[in-house]
Amino acid sequence: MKIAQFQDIHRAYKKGVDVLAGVSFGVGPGEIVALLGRNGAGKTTLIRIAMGMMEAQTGSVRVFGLDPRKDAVEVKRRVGYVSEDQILPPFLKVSQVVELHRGLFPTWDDDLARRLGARFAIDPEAKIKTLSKGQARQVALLCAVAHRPELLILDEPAGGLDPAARREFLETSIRLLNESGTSILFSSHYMSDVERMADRVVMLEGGRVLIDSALDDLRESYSLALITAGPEVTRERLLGLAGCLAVRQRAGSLHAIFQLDPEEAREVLDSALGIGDMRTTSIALEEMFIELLGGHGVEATGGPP
Amino acid sequence: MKLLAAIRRDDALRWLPLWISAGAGVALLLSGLYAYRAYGDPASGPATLTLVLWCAVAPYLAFGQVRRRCSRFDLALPLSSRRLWLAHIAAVLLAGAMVLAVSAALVVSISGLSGRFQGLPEPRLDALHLAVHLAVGLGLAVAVLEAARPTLAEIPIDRGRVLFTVASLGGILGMLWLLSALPLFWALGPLGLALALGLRTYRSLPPAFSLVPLAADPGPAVARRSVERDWAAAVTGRRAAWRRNLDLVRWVAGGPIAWFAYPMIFFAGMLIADLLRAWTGEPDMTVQNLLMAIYVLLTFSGLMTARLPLFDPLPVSRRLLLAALVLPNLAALILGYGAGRIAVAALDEPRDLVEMAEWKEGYFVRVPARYLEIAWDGRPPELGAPWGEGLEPMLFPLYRGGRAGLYSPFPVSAGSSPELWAFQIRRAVEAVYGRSIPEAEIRERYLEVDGEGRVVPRGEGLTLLADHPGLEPRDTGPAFPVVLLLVVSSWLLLFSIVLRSYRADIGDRARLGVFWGLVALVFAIMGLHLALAVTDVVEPWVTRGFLEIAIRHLGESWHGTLAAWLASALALLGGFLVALASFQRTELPARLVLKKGLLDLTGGSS
Repeated sequence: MKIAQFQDIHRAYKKGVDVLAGVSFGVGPGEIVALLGRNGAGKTTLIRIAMGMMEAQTGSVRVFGLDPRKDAVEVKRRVGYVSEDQILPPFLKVSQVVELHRGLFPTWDDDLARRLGARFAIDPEAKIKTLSKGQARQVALLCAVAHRPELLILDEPAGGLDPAARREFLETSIRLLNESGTSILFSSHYMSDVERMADRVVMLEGGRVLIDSALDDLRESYSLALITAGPEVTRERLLGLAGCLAVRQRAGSLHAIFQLDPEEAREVLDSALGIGDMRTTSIALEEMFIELLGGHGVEATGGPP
Repeated sequence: MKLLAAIRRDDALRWLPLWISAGAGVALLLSGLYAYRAYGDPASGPATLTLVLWCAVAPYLAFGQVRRRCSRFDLALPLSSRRLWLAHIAAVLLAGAMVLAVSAALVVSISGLSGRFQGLPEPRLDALHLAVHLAVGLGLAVAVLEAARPTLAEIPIDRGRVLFTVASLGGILGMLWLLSALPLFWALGPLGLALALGLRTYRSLPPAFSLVPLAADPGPAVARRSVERDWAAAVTGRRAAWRRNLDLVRWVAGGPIAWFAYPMIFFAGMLIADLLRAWTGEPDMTVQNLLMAIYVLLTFSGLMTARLPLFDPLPVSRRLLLAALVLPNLAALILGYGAGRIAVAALDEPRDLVEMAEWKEGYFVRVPARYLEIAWDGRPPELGAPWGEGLEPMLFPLYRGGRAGLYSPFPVSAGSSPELWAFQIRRAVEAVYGRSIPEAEIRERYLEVDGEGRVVPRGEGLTLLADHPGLEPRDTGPAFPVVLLLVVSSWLLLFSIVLRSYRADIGDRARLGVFWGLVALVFAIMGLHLALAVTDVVEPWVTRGFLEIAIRHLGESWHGTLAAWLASALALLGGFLVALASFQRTELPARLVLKKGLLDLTGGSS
């Protein structure tokens, strides 16, 4: 059974302009799923729907088999949630925030809370409004994980944090995950974080799921070819090749993204265009993100299957 | 030019139409008080007008962006803090002056209109005194409120600041009251104080404002504190669920706004308990008071929703969150009502409720409006004595030209016989006190016939209380549940509409439009009722009479009283459930904007 299951989710903020236009995917037990997409792709909307804080106009969402809107309290008791725009009550002391969470989550682990609190070195008597952004986020993480949730939902959790704080945040999340087998659904714009944490990547574009693939498969089945441009080797011809998703021109060379492993891409290029002067490599996730979501190649080829 | 541009950009001028409307609303509410004082005691008119106008501008000074000296945008520009501060002061003074001008025009025109309709002379108004006093008050308020934390771009809001603001504005209200009794040159004192304070603040401004204050040195003791030990102490024991829920209520419905909200709601509760009538003798503000209570409840409960997003991700039911918003406000209203009833009981002196009052060329039997009756079809029945003498009572319509109206069930006229007078007075005494006095005694003791054959009171008139010790008015009926039903169900229904606008597909602007639009609607109804009263289209005492008669009838039997309480309880529950149904569908944004540019209603930022 899936921990969270989205089925054909639609949601619009303005009539006729869908932010989500039929999103379907699931998060399995113990799985870490990264939700990727450009700004406005609907990641936060989807996460808020999973939390029961928004509702889908059509489609169904189930978290632990429950409707997060109708069974909001039950679902939230089993979920840990940290979001970039989440604000802890600024007028409360850290200890009061922790006390509030202890009372609301039956599975609260005092020992874990104490360990995390000491590790983050935050004064429990400090008011939230006096903390730095990183410290406030650490308090939010403490509250989100100390009840040992079955599902941890992180919406741009490291947004605005410096690299050291971000690393600390992610390492804590991963370690806790290893301890208790928690599933994680998280969105991030930091591809290095995604590569470090995620088992699976779900990429949203135009309100739909563009890619839903295990990270390892993604690394193996996509490649970048660096080709010297010439009269016979043009952007248009490359885009016409099987598996070519996007082509970008840089000075005298062309960078082509293939949904093929590097060896297969080399064979396609060699057999179709007789190109010998080229280099094919596996592609970094960030490069793929930019090429697929930031370029125009997707539109030219209609996107990956 | 740079200064002018900075003034135009200043946050103090943002939402000025809202503040002008709010000031006008307060002025509209209090214009009745001014008219009452100006016509009743002309000497106190100017002082009352000054105080009324100060009350109109005070919300702007308390809640407006007076404490924000410059925006972050201005902070990044090559402008000195002194230039920015001068621009800010000019903007605040300009905005305050505009609120005062509109409010003054409104109060003076409404009270003048009211007097003209009643054929009264224009009240005395010394425009120079008024302008000087208000200008001095405004200047001193701005100087005092701006004196704190001169190094900061924005004075932080905390409990101390709220108390300081309330104390300053209240103190200046008292000062204006004193000044109004003194010659004009006395205003030079506070004017000098304002200038001195302003100059002191100006001279202590840094070259550039800071966004945040310098952190205080934690000191070696704090630095040495063991974080581990602190956390071990922080995470011990477990609070009972009810205490946790109480904390939630405190946190959801608390904060800076609560400091203003609960006293205001408490006061509104006192008003609907009829305090104003007992205090000033002015009996006809019932409808205004009920609307005022709805307005105050709607405004503050709406503003309190600002903290809801902080608790939305937590496993807290919407029912509990809504209860946290509704119950403290309801408790403040009920406590205010209770306090109001105690005050009314203390202020009300026993007086004869059945009187022979003079009217035109004769007298009539006067009883409080609650003892009249309603003729829904506009045709009161002819009320006569068993021997056949009688007459059709006069009708007081609910509004001019309307059919339904009130009539006295004890009608007499100048030409009525002494026997009919005694008959009707006996019936009136029975209706009001529940006791009977023989008609013969009434005829002999209280009535006589003058030279023109008219029945007139003998001696001091109907001195019933003095002559019949132990006369107690009958129970006037279950007013509390009826008032509660009217106010709370209206509030909750309007509040449910506000909550319905909390959807992700409804933008901040539209949501603000719904909230403030409904608040303005309640104000508009208050204004409409006042305008109709001033132009004699409605008689406030008749409107009040309709309500009181209904309450009296309910109280005549135990099942009527029970029905009133049941209906009130059901209306409360129904209103709560309607609001809850709306609240269940809300989609709260991460940060709820309810008053752009005003207080940070969440109580600070993380």
